Amino acid sequence: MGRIIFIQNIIGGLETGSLYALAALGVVLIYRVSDVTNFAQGEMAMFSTFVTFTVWTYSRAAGYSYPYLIAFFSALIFSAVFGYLIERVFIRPTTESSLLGKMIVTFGLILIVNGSASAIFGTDSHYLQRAVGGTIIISNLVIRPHSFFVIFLALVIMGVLFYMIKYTMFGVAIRATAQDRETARLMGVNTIKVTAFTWIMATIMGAMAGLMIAPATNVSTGMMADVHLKSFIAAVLGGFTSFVGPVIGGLIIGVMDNLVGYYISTNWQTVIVYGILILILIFKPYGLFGTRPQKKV
Amino acid sequence: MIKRTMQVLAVLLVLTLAMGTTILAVEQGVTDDSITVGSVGVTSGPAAFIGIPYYEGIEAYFKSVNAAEGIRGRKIELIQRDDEFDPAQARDHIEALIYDEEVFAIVGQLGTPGVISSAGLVQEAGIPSVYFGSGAAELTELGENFFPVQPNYVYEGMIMAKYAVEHFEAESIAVLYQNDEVGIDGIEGIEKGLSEMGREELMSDDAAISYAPTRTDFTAQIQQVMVEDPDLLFIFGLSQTASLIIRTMEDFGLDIPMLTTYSNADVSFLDTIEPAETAPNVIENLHIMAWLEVDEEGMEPMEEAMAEFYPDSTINSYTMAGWVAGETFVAGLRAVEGELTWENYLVAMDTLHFTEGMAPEISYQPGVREGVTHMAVLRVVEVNGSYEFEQVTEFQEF
Repeated sequence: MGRIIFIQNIIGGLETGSLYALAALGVVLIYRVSDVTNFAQGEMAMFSTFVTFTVWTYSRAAGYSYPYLIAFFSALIFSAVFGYLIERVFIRPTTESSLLGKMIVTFGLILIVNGSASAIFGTDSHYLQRAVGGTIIISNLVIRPHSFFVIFLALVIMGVLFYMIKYTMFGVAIRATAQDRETARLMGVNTIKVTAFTWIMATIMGAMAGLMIAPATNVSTGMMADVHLKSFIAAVLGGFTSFVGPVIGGLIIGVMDNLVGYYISTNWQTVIVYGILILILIFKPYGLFGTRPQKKV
Repeated sequence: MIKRTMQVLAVLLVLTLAMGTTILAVEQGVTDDSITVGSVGVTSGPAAFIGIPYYEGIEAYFKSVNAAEGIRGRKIELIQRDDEFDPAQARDHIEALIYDEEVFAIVGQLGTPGVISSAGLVQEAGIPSVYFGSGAAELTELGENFFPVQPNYVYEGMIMAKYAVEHFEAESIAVLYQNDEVGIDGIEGIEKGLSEMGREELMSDDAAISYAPTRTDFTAQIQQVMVEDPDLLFIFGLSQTASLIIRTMEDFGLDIPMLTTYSNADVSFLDTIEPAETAPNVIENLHIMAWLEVDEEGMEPMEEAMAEFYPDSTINSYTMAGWVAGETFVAGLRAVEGELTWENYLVAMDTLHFTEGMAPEISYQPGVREGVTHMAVLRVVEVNGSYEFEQVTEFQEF
């Protein structure tokens, strides 16, 4: 029984941690290209999830065969357009602004996106189905296939990003833009396109994260608040300069949270977990997989 | 000539002082034809689904009173401010309502964090504050100008313990409680109730399991409940987390009776669970406390008012709570003898015994501010593919 409980808590932690990981990857992508921490990533994900929910609801009501798939692909298309618009309207005009200024813009975006979502979709909380339904019980262990789908998705996205940045010409353009925007532009890199494309990709990732998270939080204007905060912590723990780091960081937070909650105290769960994370960061200030930022010359 | 001028000035001075005295005699927020009251609560953001119908309920009641000549010729006007469920905003709004808008009373302030954060201001000003959309127990001890109506969570915890023993006949209990004012008051009440009944052995120390209000993963908590293997599980938390707990119970096949707080006694709570898809096996084990006892006849005035003033809105338990807030405040106004001043209103409320409204009984005595003390247990039942509540016990006191 004790071993089953231990494994169950680890499985549960991996499930939740993968949600943090998924949410963190979009933040890290934008950071790596532009040094900007997009504090509105969670709210953008929420907005895309509301669009998905709306399409899903209408598709079900209309009796279409695969309402979830229709909603899923609609979310991808919408979030691509949404990401581009955000970049074009709010981010690009601040290209010459300081980093702090850009980050303040993303704070402003939180209010704009959240307020718009409330006005358009209302403030109720809605159920959205899991991508993969049901539960599987193996030797008294409860396994939710949806969670493994989320872990799989996070790993695939991580792998794609890693490959793209390291082995493709576009990845080279991204790295060059991140290193020195002006020099990259002089070398023929279309830095405007690179930046726009990274925002599009990050918004799509946010939409996917929102879709996977919604079954655990319901769809509401506040659905991403806690997950978004923990995804930032996952990114810091794993290292903001790495794609592997946030995934590992998210999984560590999820697992540690459950083990501390079960074996030590549910009352002190949060305090202990984040206390340990701070200790780790004292010894690894750039995160478990992060590297010391190089000064641009 | 000078003497005459002095006489005129003296008369003018007397008249001015007399007018001044008259003006001072009328309480703030009260004119010959209006009584202005204020309220603060959430009407935007994730918790707006509570505040919007709640304030419609208050407004619908005031509008129906105003349509019937008001209170002694005065119409009631409500100034409502949105605090977005943020206690700091709640405090600022309450301060502005008391000192800038100069309202006569605070009516139906909504949300425990905001209520608690601004209680000191209300206490200091001495302004009447009637009905709180909160079950915080400390509201019963804040002073003579506070008139809570909803049962407080400590008392609710006590009466839940009573039902656990008498209705559920449980031999062991576990509690999942939200680690904030709501859940901590609740667990205190459950322990107190068991203690007063001499049944402390029903709940072990390990069976009181907390969780953070923002939590989304309940694996550790549900594992602990499964180890305790209780006959009955109390869920002392608000709708967002309670719905996730119920889904997790379904995933883990934890099929035991559950009893949750009256704050979740609304079909919108069931909508957030979506029982048919996420909890078909455990949902009919869900029981909920209730404090409003209304038959179809009792609902009629509210339904008529809502149809007239908010024809597009759906009536739910939050609308009903708002309606009760309006009823309680107006019951106090009707009981005032003499001028409408804070002092006279507090005297009237201090001995109020109101039984004609939607709540079974609202009464106060000097120093006693318990609010409603009669509660019943509802159960979720499936009717033609949808889920609703069915009353399974009588309304009882602890």
